[in-house]
Amino acid sequence: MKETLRSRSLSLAITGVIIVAGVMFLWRNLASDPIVMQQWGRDPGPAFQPIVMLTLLGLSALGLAVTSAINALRTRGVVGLGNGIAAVAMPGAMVATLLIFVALVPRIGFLASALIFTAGWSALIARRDGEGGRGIALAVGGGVLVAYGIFTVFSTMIGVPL
Amino acid sequence: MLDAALAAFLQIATDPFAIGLCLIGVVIGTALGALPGISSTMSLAVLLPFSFGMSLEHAMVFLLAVFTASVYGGSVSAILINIPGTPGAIVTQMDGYPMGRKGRAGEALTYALLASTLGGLLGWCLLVVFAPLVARAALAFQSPEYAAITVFGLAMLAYASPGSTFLALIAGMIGLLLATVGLDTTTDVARFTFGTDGLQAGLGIIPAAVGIFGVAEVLKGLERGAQKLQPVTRIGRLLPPWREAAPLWPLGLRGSIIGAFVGAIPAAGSAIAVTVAYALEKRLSKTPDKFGTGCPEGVVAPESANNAGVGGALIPMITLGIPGDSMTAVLIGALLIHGLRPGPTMFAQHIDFVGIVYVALAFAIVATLVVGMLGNRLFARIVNAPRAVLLSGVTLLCVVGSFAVRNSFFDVIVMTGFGVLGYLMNRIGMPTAPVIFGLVLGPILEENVRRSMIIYNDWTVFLTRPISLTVLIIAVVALAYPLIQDAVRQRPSP
Repeated sequence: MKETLRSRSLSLAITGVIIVAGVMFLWRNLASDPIVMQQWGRDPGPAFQPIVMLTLLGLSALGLAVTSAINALRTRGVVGLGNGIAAVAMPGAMVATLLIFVALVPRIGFLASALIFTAGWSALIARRDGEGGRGIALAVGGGVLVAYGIFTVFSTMIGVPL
Repeated sequence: MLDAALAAFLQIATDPFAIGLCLIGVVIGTALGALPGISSTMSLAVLLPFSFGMSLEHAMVFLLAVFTASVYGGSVSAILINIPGTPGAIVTQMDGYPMGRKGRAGEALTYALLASTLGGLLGWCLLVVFAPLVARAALAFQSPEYAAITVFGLAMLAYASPGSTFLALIAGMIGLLLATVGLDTTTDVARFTFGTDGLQAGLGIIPAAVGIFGVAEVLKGLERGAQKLQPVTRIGRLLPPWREAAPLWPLGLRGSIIGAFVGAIPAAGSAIAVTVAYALEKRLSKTPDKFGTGCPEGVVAPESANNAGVGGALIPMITLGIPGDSMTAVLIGALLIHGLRPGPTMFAQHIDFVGIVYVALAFAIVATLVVGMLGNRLFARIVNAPRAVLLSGVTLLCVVGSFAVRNSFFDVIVMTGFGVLGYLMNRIGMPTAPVIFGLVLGPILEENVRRSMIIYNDWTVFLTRPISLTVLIIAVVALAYPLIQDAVRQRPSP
């Protein structure tokens, strides 16, 4: 329980620091734009809401980082990555393949990219779920059918230029 | 209003395509809602692109059918595999799943369906009666009141979000900040575009919603050690005994009233309504110990409240342009794509559309009952759909759905980015819905604050107008109370 609480506090502290860093980056971007920052008469101007939000978000994130860090220091327990990296390997791979998918479409077309994507992922997930050869083959077949179905519905029936 | 509703009824009832869309929407909505790991918001978000090629009327018929049916569908997975398909079904599983384990899954599904229909109809009545009144009152609102109501919506969302209010507030601020990306609509000045053309038009609500509600859930499902399911295999008979079912209608009525009114509070969501309904029935019961062991009362109360919230959530959406829950936030995105911005002028300028919403929702509720009665055994099998095909297929649907908004792969990258954001937020226990609310409400807030300043040239205008002041005080109280509670609760023990 203590370990979980400490790990969670540390995660929140890191999140707070990341948000503060993001706020500082965006603040700098906004402040360096003379057009956005100029006076607009009675209109508070295009910089108004970003400035208010950056201020509130920055202060809130700073508060989150500080209070969470204090909580982490006050609580005892070991903090480790555990199976964290291994657990997120598949989600990370999915994000990477989504970006590859987008890059691949102009080269080999949407349908071919979609078929490779769904067949590959269906096989991978089925294998990880402990399916045998037949189960994997069925998953790949199902994935290919689903991909072709989605392509047909959107491209032919709805007229999306895929 | 009556003329518009009658015209809408005749328009939909005599249009086979509209009826077909309603039925297809109900079947797909229930099926997706029944699938583990696919929430009703995700169902609506990924099916939204199917409506792009339709007229506004057909799109609403289809989307409201998906909306209504997926809320019911959430109870199927709650009863059969102990995983709520929607936040509103989180309480249903407490008695639905034990009923299923006792061999009464079919009866539990029927109880959920009948309670959903009762709740849906009562929520519909509330929508029909109160939406015109709220819209009429809202016509007197000026920009300061709108700005205050937008703040109120965000405060309520933070208040009602599961977990920490402070984290929900930060998530809402992230959404409000992201809403400022792109060209400012008043001055045409670019903000946070970093010289890219893709960001000039801003971050689309639909790619963002598909990413946060769709891709993030897929990524979660891909994690190692994802929950192993223990589905109920024996459905049993569908019709419950009359003697047991008949005395439950007052209970369903109470749940419906709670659900409809709580659902009408901007951003309050169904989770609160079902919890209140369940707790109330447990308190009123002569045998409270039965709750949690598989009693029908524990299914009827939350399910009636859950579906009553559909009609309730549409009230702030239609009358104020503020989402009632995460699903109506997605619906607002759909309306914007069809060139319609919901708000108080809807009743004056688009009364035909309001009529369509009324009639389409009523058709959807009835169709859900019919399709549910006929297909519950089939939907019960859907929970066993192969996960591999499901996850890869849903991801592809997310890609196509995001692309189809503007035929741009830049939106697919935006969707992926929001997917990663949603996934990381889920991992640290930060609610994701406030980001989408922030994206929807951000432009409304900015527009009305700036307009107030241009017109009144006085920062105190928000505090000197009675309605605006009252709404802001409620918002501050709604925020302050749980924040203080959070602070007290988070004090670590030595």
